[in-house]
Amino acid sequence: MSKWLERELTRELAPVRAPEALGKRLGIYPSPRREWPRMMLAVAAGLVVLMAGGYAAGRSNSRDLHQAATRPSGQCVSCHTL
Amino acid sequence: MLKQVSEEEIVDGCRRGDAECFRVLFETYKDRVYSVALRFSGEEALAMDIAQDTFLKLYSCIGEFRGDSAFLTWVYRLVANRCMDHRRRSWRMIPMAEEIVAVLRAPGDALHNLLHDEMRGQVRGAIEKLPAEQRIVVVLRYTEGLGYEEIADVLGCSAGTVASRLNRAHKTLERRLSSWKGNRNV
Repeated sequence: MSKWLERELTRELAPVRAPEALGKRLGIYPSPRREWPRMMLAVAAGLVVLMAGGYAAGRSNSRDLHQAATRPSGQCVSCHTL
Repeated sequence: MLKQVSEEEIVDGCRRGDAECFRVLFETYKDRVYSVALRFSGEEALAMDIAQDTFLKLYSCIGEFRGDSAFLTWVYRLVANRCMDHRRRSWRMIPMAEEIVAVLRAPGDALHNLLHDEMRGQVRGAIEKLPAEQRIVVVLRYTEGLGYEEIADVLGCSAGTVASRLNRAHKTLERRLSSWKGNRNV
C-alpha cells in the first residue's frame, strides 16, 4: 500500500470524542431541569384569576335573569300585588 | 483501558445493577464506541444511534461476558455487530446539491478551501462505498489501531481473512482515489 493512502486513512479515520448528548440519551448525564420564568408564572396566575372572576360574574348574572324569567309577568317587584 | 482487577469489579458491579459502575464503564469506552460508529457510518446521527444501541446491548448482556477474551475486545465485537446491523445508507441527494451551489457561489480562497474539502470528502466517500465487511476492518485498523489478530478476535474470523479484506480494501481505495492523489497538495 502506498504511503499517501496510509496517511490519508490515518487522518480521515482518526478517533473522535463522543458528544455529551450520548450520555444524556442513555441517562448517564442528567438533563438540565427546565425552569419556568417567574414572570411567566405570575402572568399565568393573573390570567387564571381574571378568568375565574369573569366566570363567577357571568354565573351570578345568568342566575338573576333566570329568577326574573320565572317571576309571573305583571307582578310588582316591590309590593307583589297586581 | 481498565486494569484486570478493577475491570472485574466494574463488570461485577454492572451485573448487580450498580449505576456508578455503568457510569464508569460508559466513561471508559464511550469515545472508542462512538469513533468506530462514526467512522463506519459516516453520519453523526447514525453514529449516535449505533453507539446508543451498543451501550444498551452492553448493559443488557453484560451477564453473558465470560472473560474468554479481553473486555475491550467484547466491546469492539458489540459495536462491530451494531455497525453491520445499521449498514443501510441514507440518500445524499440534498447535501450534494448544497455542495454544488456552495462551489458555484464561492470566489477566490473560498473556492480553494472547497476544493480541499471536496478532496477530503472523496476519501471519506470512497471509504463509505467499501463493502461493510471490508469497511469495518479498515475502521478497526485505522481508527482504533488494532492488529490483524485483534481484529480477527473481534470479528470472529481468521487473521488471514482480515489481511485479505484489508488488502482488497486498499486496492479498491487506491483505484478510486488515484485521480485525487496528484491534487492532494491543493
